[in-house]
Amino acid sequence: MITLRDVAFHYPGGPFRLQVPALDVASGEKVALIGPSGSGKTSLLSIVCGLLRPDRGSVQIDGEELATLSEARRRAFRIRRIGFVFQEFELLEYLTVRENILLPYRLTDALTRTAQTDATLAELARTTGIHDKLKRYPRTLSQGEKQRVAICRALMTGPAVLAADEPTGNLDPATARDVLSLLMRQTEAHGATLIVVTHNHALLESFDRVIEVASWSQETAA
Amino acid sequence: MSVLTLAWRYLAYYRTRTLLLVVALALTCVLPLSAHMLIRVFSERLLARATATPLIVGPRGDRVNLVLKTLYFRSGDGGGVSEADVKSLQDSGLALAIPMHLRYTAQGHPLVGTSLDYFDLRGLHTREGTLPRRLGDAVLGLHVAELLHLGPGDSLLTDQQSLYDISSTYPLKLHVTGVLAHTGTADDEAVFVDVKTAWIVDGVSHGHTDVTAANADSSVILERTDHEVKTNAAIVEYNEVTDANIASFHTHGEDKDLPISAVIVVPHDAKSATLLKARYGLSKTRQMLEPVAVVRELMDLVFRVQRFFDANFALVATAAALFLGLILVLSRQLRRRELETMWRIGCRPGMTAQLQATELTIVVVLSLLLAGGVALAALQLAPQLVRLI
Repeated sequence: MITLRDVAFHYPGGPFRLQVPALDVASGEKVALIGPSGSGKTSLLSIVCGLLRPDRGSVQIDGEELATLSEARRRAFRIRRIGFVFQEFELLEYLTVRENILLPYRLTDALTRTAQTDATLAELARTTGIHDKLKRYPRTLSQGEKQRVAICRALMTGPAVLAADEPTGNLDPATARDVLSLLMRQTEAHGATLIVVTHNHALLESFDRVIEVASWSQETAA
Repeated sequence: MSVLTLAWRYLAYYRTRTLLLVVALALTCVLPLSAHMLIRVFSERLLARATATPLIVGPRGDRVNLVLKTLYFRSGDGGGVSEADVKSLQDSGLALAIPMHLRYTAQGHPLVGTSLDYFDLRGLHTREGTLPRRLGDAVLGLHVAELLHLGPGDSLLTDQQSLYDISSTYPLKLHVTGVLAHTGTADDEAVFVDVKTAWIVDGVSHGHTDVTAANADSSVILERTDHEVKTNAAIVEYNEVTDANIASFHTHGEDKDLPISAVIVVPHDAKSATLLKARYGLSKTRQMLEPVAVVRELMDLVFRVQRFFDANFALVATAAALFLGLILVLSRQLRRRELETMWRIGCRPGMTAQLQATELTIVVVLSLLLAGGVALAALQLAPQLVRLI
């Protein structure tokens, strides 16, 4: 369960202001954040995921207050409870697909790799259709395959929230539908909450709820 | 996967740019490193040979030239001093005098006319064959023997000094009696003969048909008296010393007419050395030098030049460090999204900086290893390089 109350945020020195009076996202819910460019979709996603700290207000995920957590604890929370999928996939070119999927385990001591980790990886790779590409490098994959790898990486830690920023932005319509469908299925399979920032209105019907962020943002005079 | 492994994977994946960076850095280091090592070896060898040569007597003039010529057999003008100097030193009872005749070459290699004492002084012994035993015999330095594929029983000719001067002496055919064992010094590069053989090459000694005999070829005799026989230029001079003609070789003139390039002087003791130095200090035509002192002066000059290069290297190193810094900044910009992804996923603070620092460290270590390897290779070649010097 994600709960935001009276959240305000602005970038230092900038005119942009985001004010969210109240937002509740139920566990397992699939939510799309839409709005024109600069309306604050990515900022809101970053606040929800603990990447940005709001000026005021409360941000809770499953009862854990992110707004007041220290940087270290927010980082630890993020790596264990949030999975990220990016528009540009953001795979490390010099690591194999397998190593990319296991990247969260390389970056922190908060996660311990066990036999179960390898089993999870194998299962994810199988269900996302990249099981035969684990030893390859990202440059040898198609765009759709890269995004599948990114989805696997986001789900490796069993996150409570899967945050995706324009995950289909670089894909052709057919691949975009496939990837979103996969994202939905995997989120359901893992019992996670899905929050997706998107411009693609053709895909909105797949979501449980669509939130127009523009109504919460404004630009003030400098 | 530790930061070290991640850094290594990054460098290995982008191996071409890594290699370029490593080679560029290594080249920056290798020149001063090699120069330092070579100069050290050069200095050690030069000093070792100079130390093993107590004193040198030669004509007044360039001190460094005299010492280097005597130690490293630089061919050049003959004389300067004479057999009379050698005799005088021997007769003084203060030192052993070893003549060094260094004017000629044999098939491109220095021809050193000396005495057997030289071989004792340098601790030289033959790998095969024997030391020169009579006129016309030669013993070869190992490198010369290898280059010319010569050994005991073979022969070689001395080099003609002037192709167009028909009045000059002809090349002398030398008989190789032995090959010296390896020394790693200039002795490997020379052809050694007795100083009397060198005088034959010089033309002050010679052998020819007996014109004193009653049946001598009268067509070469210009005048005959009770005391001497004058001949014309048609008289046949021998250009090889053989059992049959060895008795005919003789020298005209006195000891002071027998040229020597320099004399190596081995004083019997410190007092003798002091007395000899004092004696030669007063001479207007001769000088007695301590090779060690002259070589140290020379090395001081080399080290001064080296310090100049060191200062240059410091500037180059600073420039290289600045370039590295620039590469680091540009690399950070180029990899901004990669590093940001790591941060978003939740990497620990400072990890991205640590990652780049590790990559830089690996590059620097590889560069130093490469530079060290090249410098060591240069060190292996140092003896040959020093020999060339």
